[in-house]
Amino acid sequence: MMKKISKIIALFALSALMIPSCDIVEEPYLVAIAGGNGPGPGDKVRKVLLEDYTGQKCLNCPEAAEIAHTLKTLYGEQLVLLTIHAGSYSTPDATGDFTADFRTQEGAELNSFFGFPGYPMGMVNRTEFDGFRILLKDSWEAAAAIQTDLEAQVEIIITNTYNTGTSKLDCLLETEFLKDMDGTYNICVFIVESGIISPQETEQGVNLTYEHNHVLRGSMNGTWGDVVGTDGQAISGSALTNSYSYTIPDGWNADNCSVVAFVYNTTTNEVVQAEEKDLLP
Amino acid sequence: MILKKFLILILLALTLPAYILAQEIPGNPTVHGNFQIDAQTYHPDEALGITDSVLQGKTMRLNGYGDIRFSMWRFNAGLRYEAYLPPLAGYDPNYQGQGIPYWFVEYGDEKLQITAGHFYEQFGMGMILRSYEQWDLGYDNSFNGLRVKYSPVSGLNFKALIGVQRYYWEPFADDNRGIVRGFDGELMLNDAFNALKEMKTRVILGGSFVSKYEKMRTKTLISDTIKYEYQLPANVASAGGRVSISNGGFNFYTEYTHKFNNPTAFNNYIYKDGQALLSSLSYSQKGLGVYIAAKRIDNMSYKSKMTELNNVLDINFIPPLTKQFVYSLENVYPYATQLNGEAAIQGQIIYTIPKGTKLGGKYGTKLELNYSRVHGLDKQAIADSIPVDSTGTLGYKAPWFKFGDLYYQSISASFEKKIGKKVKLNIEYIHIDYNIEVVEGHPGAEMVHAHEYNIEFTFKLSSTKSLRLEYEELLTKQDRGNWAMLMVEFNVAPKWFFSIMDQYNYGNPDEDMRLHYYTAAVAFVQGPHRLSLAYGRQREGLLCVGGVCRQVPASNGFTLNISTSF
Repeated sequence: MMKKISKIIALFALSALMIPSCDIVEEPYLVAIAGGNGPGPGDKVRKVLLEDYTGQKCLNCPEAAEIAHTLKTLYGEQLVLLTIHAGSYSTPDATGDFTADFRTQEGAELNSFFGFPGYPMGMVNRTEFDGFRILLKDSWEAAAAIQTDLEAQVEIIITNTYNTGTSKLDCLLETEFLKDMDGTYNICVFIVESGIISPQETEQGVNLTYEHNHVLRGSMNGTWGDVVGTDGQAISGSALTNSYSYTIPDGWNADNCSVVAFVYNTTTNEVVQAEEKDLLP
Repeated sequence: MILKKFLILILLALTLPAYILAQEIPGNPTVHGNFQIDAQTYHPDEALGITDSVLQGKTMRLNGYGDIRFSMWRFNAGLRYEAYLPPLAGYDPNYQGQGIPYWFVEYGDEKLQITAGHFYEQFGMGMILRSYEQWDLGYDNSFNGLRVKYSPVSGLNFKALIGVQRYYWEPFADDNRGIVRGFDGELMLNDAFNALKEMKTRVILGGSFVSKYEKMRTKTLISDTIKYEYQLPANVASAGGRVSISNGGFNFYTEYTHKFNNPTAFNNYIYKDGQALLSSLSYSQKGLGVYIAAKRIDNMSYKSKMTELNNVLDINFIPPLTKQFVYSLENVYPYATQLNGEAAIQGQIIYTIPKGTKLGGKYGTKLELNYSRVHGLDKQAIADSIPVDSTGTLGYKAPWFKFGDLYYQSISASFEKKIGKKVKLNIEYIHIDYNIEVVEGHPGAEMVHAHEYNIEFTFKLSSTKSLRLEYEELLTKQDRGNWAMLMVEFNVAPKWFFSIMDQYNYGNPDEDMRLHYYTAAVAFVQGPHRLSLAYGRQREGLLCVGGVCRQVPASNGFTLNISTSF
């Protein structure tokens, strides 16, 4: 009897071999990491722009949107998404399911300037990754990982004042360069809308109740924006201001709209900082 | 891939001659198999919102499989071919494709058994680990790896496994899912110890340990301009124990599982440990069955991929304490297990009033009562400044004996009686309270209170012919309002079966949606072969098996089912 019990105990003890297969995480679960001058309140973080060029009639595009969404869940506020409907798949039909028009003049110009060969494709900070600026969706994660790890060079603070009665939006942008940088820098101020329910082609057929998110709706300062401050010079410590007004057209849901702003180098077109702020608190 | 092809060749080489010469080869070779084809055509139906552009030319869809098992001496092997070309509407579109997602080879005797390839496994009730396949749901979380079962002495069984789980058709890659390792021991005291062999009380003890390894991705959060990185555990473990005690008609079972910190997309990346406790007590004797059970689960989604939200890659399974109803309209509001937390109780009595008594009549009367109630947990903030479920925190506190919102409640009573030699009557009534906001995720939707009743008559017309009539009605002021259903089924045993049915949503608040969902079906059965053809409309809704659900869209078309086995 005792022999049997000891055998049983010994065999159960074998399971102890697996105990190292458990990582107990102690507090703090979130660890502040370097972003500028080291972790601490007030540190600046590089926020990255992911542009997803898409179309409502592009059946592979929802998969790209899903990847963008997953990256957003991983990086949170540090990743700013911009969905741009452009190219042949975004052209609306006169009748049928695809009568909605999400195209914008700015989106068309960007699409043409960067020369998108197909959809879905995108850019991460408009910066080259593995030799390409225009990236297939499967490269977005790796490119975002590199960009989010870089030091913050610029900080943008957006202050929105939205009058629900007149639909007028006043947007104040305060940009601070954290170091001296060569070249001139522009700031683009776009308006995006999420939660738009409208048909989308998918691999499984048309989804009539597809939710379109982060859709570029319009720009407050054109396709290429304006110089930051008065001359776009990047001098450490300089705090520069730009301000714009815009009337939100009927048909856009202000509750789901936000301002996406980003600063880029006008020579290389590379984005150095992005920011997003909802219209309504 | 090469291994898979090699295995198929071996199976073919082994099975064909073995089948022919089954009587002559030592080792008693046997081959079993079953096949099923479910095909459906899809037609535009303006009332249901189905247009040509919705169908996109995919006017015919098919799910099908062929499953073959071979055994000889101490050797077993099998494979399953599956095709989703494309998947029937309502099945996960990621299954589109065809191939062999399941194959295995197995060798063993009474002491030791080893499986290589794919396998299904369950520890206890499955709250710590369960892999299974449910064709109706399009659910398959099989393991692909190695499993060893070992019985060193009588009454003692061990299982150990390592593997990766099925993820649609995607081959395993370093960072597309985790690796699961599990160990389970079960001790049947009465069999293990001679002194206890004769005891009337039978006791079984069990213990399990499961761990998932997953290559972690970087996950960050920005809060008040500070960038934080989540400290994510690459190895997430859970441990559990269970006890079963039975004596005569009584059976008591309890199982507890503790899951260590497992921040995932499903729980909004909180670090709270998970817990699950299920206890049940049942009694049965001839003509009487009584069952009571209680369960509390807290943060118990356990998947082998941190960012996954779909019904795939579940390592464990939480048994439901809600009755699985049979009739159509009873299943308009089925309950889906809420893995982030719920507390439930269930009580059931099945009693057959004996033949020859006043109430039992000549043939006896079967009565069944069931009650189920499910609440959310009473989640409280861990600190004043931290809202409940805040990411990157312990999430919440949930006192054991305090409950949150009502998620689901059902009270049902059924009565089954044979009236004379030729007529059978079945009546059932259910009241359901259904928190559609939580269960189906419709924000702001009102709690559904529904009454459902059904009456079924079966008339035996001759020794081979029978007629079944069924009337059901669902009454509710919420959601899609009232429904009624009538079905007539004519059965010519053993080969033919005809039915017509209409479900009518006559109380829909949207008058345009007061639609008839009619179906006509015919089936032909010959031995193990079954062929059925139906035409009609399918209503939109949830289909749930064991608390796991999939959304079925409305459709209109022909359905063809062919199945056989050998």
